[in-house]
Amino acid sequence: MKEKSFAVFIVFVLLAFQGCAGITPPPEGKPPIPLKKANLEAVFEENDGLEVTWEDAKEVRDFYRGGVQHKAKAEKLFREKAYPEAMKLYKSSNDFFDKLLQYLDEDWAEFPLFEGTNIFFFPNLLEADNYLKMGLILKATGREGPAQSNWKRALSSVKKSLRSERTEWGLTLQQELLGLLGSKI
Amino acid sequence: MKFLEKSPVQVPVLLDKEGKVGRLFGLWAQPTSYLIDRRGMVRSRSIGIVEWEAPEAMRIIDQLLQER
Repeated sequence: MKEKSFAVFIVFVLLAFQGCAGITPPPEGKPPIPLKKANLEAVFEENDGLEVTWEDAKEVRDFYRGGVQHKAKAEKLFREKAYPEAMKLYKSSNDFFDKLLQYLDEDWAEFPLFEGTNIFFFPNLLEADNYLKMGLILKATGREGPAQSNWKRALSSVKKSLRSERTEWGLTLQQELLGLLGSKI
Repeated sequence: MKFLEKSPVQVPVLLDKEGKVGRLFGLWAQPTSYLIDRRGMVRSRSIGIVEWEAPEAMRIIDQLLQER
């Protein structure tokens, strides 16, 4: 049954995203996508609604929605300083993103769904932001070493994001991470 | 709508003009069919054209209708 589900998953990926191969990096000199347009709130709004559970997720789109939805919950808890609960949700959010990144590892500012309907698709950037926040939680709880490891992973993810889509959001995140890591990179 | 004028059906047909419901359901392909049970839980999702008169589809619908 698992093999069948996996095969179905692969077929969907191949059918739905067959146009993704051969994507070229964004041209140098082109202005980045403004933060006003592509930002966390906009991503949350696009993925609000029917809740995706890990058990029900079958396709790339489900894993993306699941990751975003878990992140939305984590952000709320992070603001409330409910760190252990937020940490769990950041991790589960990244579990969703890790899964889909095995099949589609680029970020898109205009990801085509159907009939001219596009959405933001930023798994790398969102994963980077999750690692950043997890690092901040670890630092706040006195665990500087693991915090640094998380920020390094965040930096790697944000670089991947910027290679496929140059966004102000990504550039801001990269700047923040470089500041946090200081001379440790 | 033109199709429904020509071929009326006996079930409610609603039009999601602004794509709000599609967004809330995380729709990413058309057509997509959802089966929702009496409690309002999504029990099945099918992407693509579905043969609703096929034995498997009928079995699932019958099973959902029997639930209380």
